[in-house]
Amino acid sequence: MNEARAERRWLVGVDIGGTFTDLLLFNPATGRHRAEKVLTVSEAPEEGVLRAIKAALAPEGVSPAEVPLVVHGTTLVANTLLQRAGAPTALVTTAGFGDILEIRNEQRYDVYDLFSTFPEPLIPVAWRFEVAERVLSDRTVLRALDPGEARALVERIAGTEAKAVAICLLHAYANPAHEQQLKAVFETVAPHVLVTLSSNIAPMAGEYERMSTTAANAYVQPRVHEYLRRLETGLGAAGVRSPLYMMLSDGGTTPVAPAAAYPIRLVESGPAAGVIAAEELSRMLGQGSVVAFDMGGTTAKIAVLTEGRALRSWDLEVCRTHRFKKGSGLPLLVPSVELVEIGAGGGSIAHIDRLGLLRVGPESAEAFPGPACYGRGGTRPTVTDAAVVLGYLNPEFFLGGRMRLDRDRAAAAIQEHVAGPMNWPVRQAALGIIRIATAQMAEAMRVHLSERGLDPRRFTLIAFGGAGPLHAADVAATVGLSRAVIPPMAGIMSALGLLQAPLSFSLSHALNQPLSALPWEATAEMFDRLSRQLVQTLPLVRDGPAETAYALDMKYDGQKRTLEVPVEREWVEAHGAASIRAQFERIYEVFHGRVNPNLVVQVANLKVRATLHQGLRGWVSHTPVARDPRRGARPVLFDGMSEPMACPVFDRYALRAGTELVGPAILEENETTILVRPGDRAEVDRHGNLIIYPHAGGQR
Amino acid sequence: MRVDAAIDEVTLGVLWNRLVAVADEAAAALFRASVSVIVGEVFDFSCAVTDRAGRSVVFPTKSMPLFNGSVEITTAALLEHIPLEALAEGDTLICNDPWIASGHLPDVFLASPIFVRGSVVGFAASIAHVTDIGGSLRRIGTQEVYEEGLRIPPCKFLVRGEPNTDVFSFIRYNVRVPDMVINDFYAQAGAHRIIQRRIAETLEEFNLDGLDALAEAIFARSEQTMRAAIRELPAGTCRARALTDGYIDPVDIHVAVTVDDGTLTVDYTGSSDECLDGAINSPYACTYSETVAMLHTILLPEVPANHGCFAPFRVVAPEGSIFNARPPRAVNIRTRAVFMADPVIMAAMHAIAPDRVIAAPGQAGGYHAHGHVDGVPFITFFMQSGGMGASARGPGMGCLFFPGTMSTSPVEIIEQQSPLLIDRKRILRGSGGPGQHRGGDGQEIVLTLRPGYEGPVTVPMHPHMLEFPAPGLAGGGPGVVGKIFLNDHRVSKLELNQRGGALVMRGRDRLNIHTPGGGGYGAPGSPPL
Repeated sequence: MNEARAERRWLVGVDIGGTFTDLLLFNPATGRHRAEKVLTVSEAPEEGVLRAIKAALAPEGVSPAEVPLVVHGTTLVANTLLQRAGAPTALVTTAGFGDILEIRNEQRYDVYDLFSTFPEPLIPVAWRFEVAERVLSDRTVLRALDPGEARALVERIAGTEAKAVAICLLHAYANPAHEQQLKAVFETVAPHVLVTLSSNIAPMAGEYERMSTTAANAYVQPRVHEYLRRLETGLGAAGVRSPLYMMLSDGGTTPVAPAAAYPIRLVESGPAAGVIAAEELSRMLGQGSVVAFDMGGTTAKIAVLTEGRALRSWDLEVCRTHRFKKGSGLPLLVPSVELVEIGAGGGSIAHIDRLGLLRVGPESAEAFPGPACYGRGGTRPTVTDAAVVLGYLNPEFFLGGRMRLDRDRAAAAIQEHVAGPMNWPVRQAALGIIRIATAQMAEAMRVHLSERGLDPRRFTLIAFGGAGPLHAADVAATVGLSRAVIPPMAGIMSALGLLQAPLSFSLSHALNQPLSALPWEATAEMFDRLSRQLVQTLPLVRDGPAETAYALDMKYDGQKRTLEVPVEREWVEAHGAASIRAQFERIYEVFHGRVNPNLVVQVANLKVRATLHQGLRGWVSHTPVARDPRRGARPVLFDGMSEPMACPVFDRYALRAGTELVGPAILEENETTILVRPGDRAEVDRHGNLIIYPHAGGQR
Repeated sequence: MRVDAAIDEVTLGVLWNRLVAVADEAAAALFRASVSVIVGEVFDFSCAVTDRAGRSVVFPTKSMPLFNGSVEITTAALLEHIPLEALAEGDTLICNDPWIASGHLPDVFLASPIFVRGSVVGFAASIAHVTDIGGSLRRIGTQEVYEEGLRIPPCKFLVRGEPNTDVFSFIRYNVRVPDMVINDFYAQAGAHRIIQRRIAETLEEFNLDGLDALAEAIFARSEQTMRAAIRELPAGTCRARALTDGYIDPVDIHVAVTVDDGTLTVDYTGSSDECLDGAINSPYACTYSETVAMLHTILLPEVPANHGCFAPFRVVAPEGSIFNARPPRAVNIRTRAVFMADPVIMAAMHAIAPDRVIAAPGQAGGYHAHGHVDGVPFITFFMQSGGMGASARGPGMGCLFFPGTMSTSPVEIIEQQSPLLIDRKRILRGSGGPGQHRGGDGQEIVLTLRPGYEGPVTVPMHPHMLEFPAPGLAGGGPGVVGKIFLNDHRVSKLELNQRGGALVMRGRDRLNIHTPGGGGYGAPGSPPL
């Protein structure tokens, strides 16, 4: 490819959020990029995408035909579940088990709450159908599926308004024959009904979680199909000829077809993209031990990277009746980046609890009415209000000056709800709000690190999202992390992550055998079969250089939770039970500190993941704008002080590589604000990252 | 309002959060490292950080509240046997005496002193229901505690971090699966190490000499708030009474709740005497512990449990009654007494706090199944929940465990681990009690043996509410009782006891279990609340 042509190749990453659709147009040859933000059109999200693409391409003089890659992340699936906007969906189960979806796992998620409620099942009892058949855990068929009964059942469902059907039969993870027979009948009798098989979407033992996943996939599928069809048509009509790729919850991207077959895997598409960007930055920094910290308006999300990679698991939950209480939602067996979500965002509300202590969140002012300082009717004090009162945020330069913040309203809200009742000065109350919010994020981070036996001092914080850079140094110091890195474009990291994500897909198969009795030939054969299936799913993988990774889910006999253990294919070929057990125990020891050589090791599932790096590798370098970075100073109150001090303010876009700062300092950019506390050291590296070395004292 | 000059309000909030996070971290480690199905599936465990006197400072967010109140009783009792001066860094104490610890032998209590700069600042403690403790495997038909397994007196499990080999041998010689049991004790000791390390780090970071100032601030703040919550209730005494299934005769539960100037007393006087022929007795420590946990949940659920929350409570149970049974009474299924008392407390308190309580939940009890397949022994444990009680706020949820954090075992996992074949698991619609708000529905599960396997499989069980249903509240009706059918023959509680508290399945036997529905709330047909 000659240079002139390369310079005209612009990649498009587009991320649909609840309020805004963010687009990043990026030219890898020149490093030029352009960000675009348009309002999300919730009833026809593709319109926002098409509008954003046109708006971004035109000023650069780029023709849509010159775009070689469009990568898309969307909240469509998550919102469809949350708003119950899916299609009429039927469920088929083994006779006697149609209520499993409603019985759940029978656990109260909050043992101190006598009044716990749960989300209604996605598929109500009238839409659940049972069929006489039975397969056992050892794959044997106890009762064969009667073809006549199968046909009668399908005809009955075809006579309803169902557009989709979820089929989840007992032990289908071990023997999918009956599920496949039913699917074949649907294909002949009712081809208009989209069919999801549990043996396909989540072939793992445990009927409730598998059924929940199967039901959710079927429930969202018709809507996702229609959306993707409209989007592809619209892109074509706009002159875009490149294939469309979809971002999955585990940070891989796929062409449209697999995404349409497994739409539930899109459920965490947006948050995963931010983690991908953090992984890419970690690689560039040469720093594999990273805490990715994404703080927005409603929540903060944390992912821990070791050796440059965030943990992936098949263990998600959506539609919680209590947003931050695990167990109050619908479980999904979906490969995803492991994220911890905390109710501490810019919009989290501060209040005094029954003990007379200051609390922040989990209730949030959301985008509307928003913090009091937005002047949209919010009257309760939030973290953002505290930041305005303390002088951290510039009321005249929020979102690059597109929005004004009202300091007086912020102060009044804090006075009424916190300072007044506690008899504190307003500014001290604001400091208290920041301290509590910081401590909550820090606790979650500390627990997450130590649960995996990791030493915080070896970790770097990568902070992004609208509010992340403001709290980065404080959180890093409180947890004891060595430094905080704030990359350029920290406010739009997710859109960037879309472009950096590899093409990737995962498949699994249930084994449920003791390691000592593992059927080696069959296991190796299954690795091969899934690898072949992946090539069919992602034809591009065939052209390589694709990486195939193998893993086993393992546990000690008697344990409930498994650990995902990466294994070499050769170990299976060599019947290497000892190598596999050693690998399991190496990982087990990291999590639990101690292994138990006397116990039997069980293998629950095997997994194969194919990955092809085709996105942007390497970080986006930042070219400073040639202008004076100094923007004067403003009074700012920091923790431990009784009076504000004059704090210098800088234009982030104009800071050159090699610039060194000693706090206090505030750095402003359009989508975010960075706080360097008194005594913190900071420098701009050659890529434009701001690296803060916090002084020892964190929030106490 | 400064509670302690040394710790301001914001710092107190930050430190309290930190301690809860420490307990959560320890609980997560214990949960994941345990191989006990009862810990792993049923969450039957807890951990705690205590002060030097053993008073509880924090518990995990998610663990069994039944253990909350007894931690300080147990720790104090251990210190009477083994004084503070006799403890060294790395020591871990152990005890499962039902009269000192948690009321029955499988719940084993471990405590480790937290040393900071050479002196003890507090204890890391934990309780977990181990896979096996020897003896009769949770049979209800035992007469004395000696039949129920190994009773471990207060002693050192680890001495300066090393196994106390005599104690290890005693345990290993007395249980069926010694490797699994010892593994679980190590899982507990591992959780203690996390607490010890984190507490030391936290004290260092905040420049504190010990936990005392922080603990006192937490206790004082919690106690004040709990007393304030009690003062919101009208003073006086309210009573409730209920009959529930006993071993032969019904258990009569009398509860009198007295509110008097910031204190609340629960008095069980008038309840049945201790049971001489069945293992349904509760030692006082266990009665106290579950009672204060219930009161805390009703009155101040948003404040994390600690010694201060419990300080305003008094629990009275006459010695020799089923709520204060003496050694050597059999205690294995002591939940029959204490869990069934919870709804009676709520029924009494309905008179003074009608929006904070629920009607009686349908409580179903637990099941083991054991036998041999091709000469190899298997043992599995499973539970099915009943329906929750309805309340002034709304109907009871169907199929939910109460009062603990238990969860059910998946059908597919039970079938993988045993020769059981489950034929059906479905909601018993309409089994919740009638009312303005209906009680939650129970469920039925049908167990058979996998074809070609003839058994026998022994199923020890302790189903609650076979005779007496979950009562309704405020005019609501009771839920449907639990039922056990063997091949369509309804097995009464008496018949079950005559068979030693266990049914034996052979060949094509079908065991059908119906769990009880929850009680309804308010008279049916009355206008919406």
